[in-house]
Amino acid sequence: MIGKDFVKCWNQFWFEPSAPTTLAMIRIATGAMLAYIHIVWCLRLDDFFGPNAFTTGAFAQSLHRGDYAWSYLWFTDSIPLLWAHQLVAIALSILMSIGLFTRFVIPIVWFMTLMVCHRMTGLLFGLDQIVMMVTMYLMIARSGDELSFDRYLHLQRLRGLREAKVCVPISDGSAYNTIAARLMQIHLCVIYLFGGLGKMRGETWWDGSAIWLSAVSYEYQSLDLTWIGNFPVLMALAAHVTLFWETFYVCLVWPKMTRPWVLLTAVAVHAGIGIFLGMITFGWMMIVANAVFIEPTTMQNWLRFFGASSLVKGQVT
Amino acid sequence: MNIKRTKNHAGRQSPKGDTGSNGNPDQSHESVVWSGRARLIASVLIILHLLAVVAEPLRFFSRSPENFAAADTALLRRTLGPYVDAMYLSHGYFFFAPNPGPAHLIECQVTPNSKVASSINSDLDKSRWKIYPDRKDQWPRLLYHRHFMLSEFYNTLFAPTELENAADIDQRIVDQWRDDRRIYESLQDCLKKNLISKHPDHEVVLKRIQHELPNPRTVFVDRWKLTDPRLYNELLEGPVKEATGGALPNQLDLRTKPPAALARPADLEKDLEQIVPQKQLQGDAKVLDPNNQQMNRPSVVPGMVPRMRPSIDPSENRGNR
Repeated sequence: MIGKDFVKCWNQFWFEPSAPTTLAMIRIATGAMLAYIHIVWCLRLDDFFGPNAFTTGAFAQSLHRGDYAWSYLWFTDSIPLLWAHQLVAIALSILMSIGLFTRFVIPIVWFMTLMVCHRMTGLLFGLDQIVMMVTMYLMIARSGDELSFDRYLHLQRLRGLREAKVCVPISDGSAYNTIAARLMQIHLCVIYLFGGLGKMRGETWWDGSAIWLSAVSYEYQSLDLTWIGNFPVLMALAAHVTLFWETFYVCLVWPKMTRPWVLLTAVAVHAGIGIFLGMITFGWMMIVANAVFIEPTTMQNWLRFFGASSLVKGQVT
Repeated sequence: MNIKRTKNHAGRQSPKGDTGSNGNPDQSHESVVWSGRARLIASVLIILHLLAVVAEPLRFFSRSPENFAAADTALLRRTLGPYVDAMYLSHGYFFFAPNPGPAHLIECQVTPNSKVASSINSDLDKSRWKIYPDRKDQWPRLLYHRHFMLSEFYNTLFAPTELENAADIDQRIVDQWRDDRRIYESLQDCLKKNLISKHPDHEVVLKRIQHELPNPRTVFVDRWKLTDPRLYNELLEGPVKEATGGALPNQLDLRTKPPAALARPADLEKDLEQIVPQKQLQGDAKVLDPNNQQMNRPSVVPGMVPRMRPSIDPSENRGNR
């Protein structure tokens, strides 16, 4: 009996079809971020990938000796070829964002970015980890079914068929969306759990000085946050909220009662990191990833509220 | 996988001619129902993937000065290694942890070859200085951050020029150090070649700079700016002087002098202890507590093979976001 209940819950959790609205929103933001990341690599293409790069292909390859990472970019430092690679990656990232040929484009973008990641070892940080994580799961989802050019083209075809009196099935949702969303949610919980446990080992997160140490790290600073040193209670509170929120995110994000508060804290923490610690791209991507906990129906309601109802299901006209 | 397409509730025809949720009477709605076998296969793949997701952070967290990793987490990581590495899942998620630490910069001194033989002062006059990262030179912010990660990476890979009392240390540890030193020198060569390609007929000297984190008293009472030259300290290339217990030295021990590029006033060319207020030193000591460093650099214990180069992701070694 318990076994049957477990199987039922398991199937419901992983395989119950769901709408792609939330994942489509995440796809738009992630595609744009991927394009931006590739553009920034292009700004100093020679320094990053060229024959006299900061880390040459041979050096990157030597770093991965003994593990299973691999990149075709280890084997070329031809600037025209690298430009071509990056321009294709940028173009496909834009296609991913606007949702054109989504099912084909996302895996290609993910693979090309993966190759860049294995090539640029040493110059990567949390942004790359999160973008790659989100893109990996978007490959599974049918995120192009909404808020996309794919949907627009599909509707155009439907109109043609309708005029020919042909009955055309449209999927209301897909188990692929559910699997992708669940994997993304659990992966995010893993990230926060270990992030929180790591901080638990440090005394500055307990005595409250971690916020000060972050604020005075000049290399990170984008806005002066040293004024917070005048408010030790606020500093300690911010450190403790971060510590407990991050560690217990894995428990508190699932119940509907606590989820909005956990997500609002996520927005506050990551916006703070973006604004004060100069990591606007990372902060933004973490907020985007957190959106995976927003129900597709809620997202649809928001879109309708903002007058974008024609972009989601239920409005074929 | 056996996946069947069946009509779901939304596709049922109501007596009033329900149009379904998409409001179009000409369309039926379908949902894909997965067969039991398809769900079983998918479930196994999902579980394997999630094990891969936790494999690296579990291994990373189960390290200690005595062990490279706990036996179970090491086994899990090893078993799923190909998938974890290939899919770029090898992250410890050790952000800003255990404590936010000082930043590391690379100071590059580019000097004309012809001037090398002349006096040091005239050399300095002709030298070009470059710092990684540099906000003025690297824009937009993401580009700056790439350079910042590079300088952290350079510091993370550091292995001293030589090991003192190497004869008394386990040969495997000495081999590990040689390997680490070779990788560090390879990166050094790459960086030098990059600068020389832009400045032919020049030679390049690289220095690791640690930007200390001041405490509130230093900022509010002593009025030091965050960019005060006294907060920047050059880190030596070695050798390791005290290898008690085999641990790598606290980087405070490696300080020598402030970086020339920061134009430190001559009257400040003293020993750091004489300049920096005692509380400041205590604050630094806390930040650079060897116990915290152990998270990144496990101590060497005879009989164990440590990994002096713990991770090739700089953002995790110093806890950057």
